[in-house]
Amino acid sequence: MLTWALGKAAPCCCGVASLIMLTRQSDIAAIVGLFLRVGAAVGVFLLLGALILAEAGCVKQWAPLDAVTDRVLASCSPRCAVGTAQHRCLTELRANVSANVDQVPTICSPWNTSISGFTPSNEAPKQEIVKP
Amino acid sequence: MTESVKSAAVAGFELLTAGLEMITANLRLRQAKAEADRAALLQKLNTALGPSKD
Repeated sequence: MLTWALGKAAPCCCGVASLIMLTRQSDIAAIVGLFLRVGAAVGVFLLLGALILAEAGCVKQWAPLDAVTDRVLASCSPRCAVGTAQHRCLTELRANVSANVDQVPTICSPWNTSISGFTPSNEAPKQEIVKP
Repeated sequence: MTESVKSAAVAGFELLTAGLEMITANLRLRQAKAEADRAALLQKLNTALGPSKD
């Protein structure tokens, strides 16, 4: 009787065990696949973020140097004499631009006023809209 | 994998490569603009100071 019962139960137990093994293997495969997909998505987004950051940071900005040059040229019109601070500033600016360095030299600090120093007192008067 | 899933994956990959190409093209454009600004500034400084000695 016992032998008969074991003979009947053994295939059933082996079938359940193999079913459990198959379920676990498929679960593991699904989890690994999910991690791979998530990793690929994160990698793509990191790549895009790095490219956007590189785009913002790698391009040199020459507008501040151009603005300083305009201010210096306006301060010593018609021409900056040799030996003046303006001439030295322009010479340093030219050296920096030639060397592909987008930094305003320290000697040009009197003309390197930032936009943060702007006050409403030196703002142009507002124009009123005249209705017809 | 069915054909529709395959075509969706190919379309997504093409969209991704097109986006990357757009970003790199925009970067090249901005670098070219910066180089033009630099050349104009150098020209302005040379006009104000005279040609450099070196």
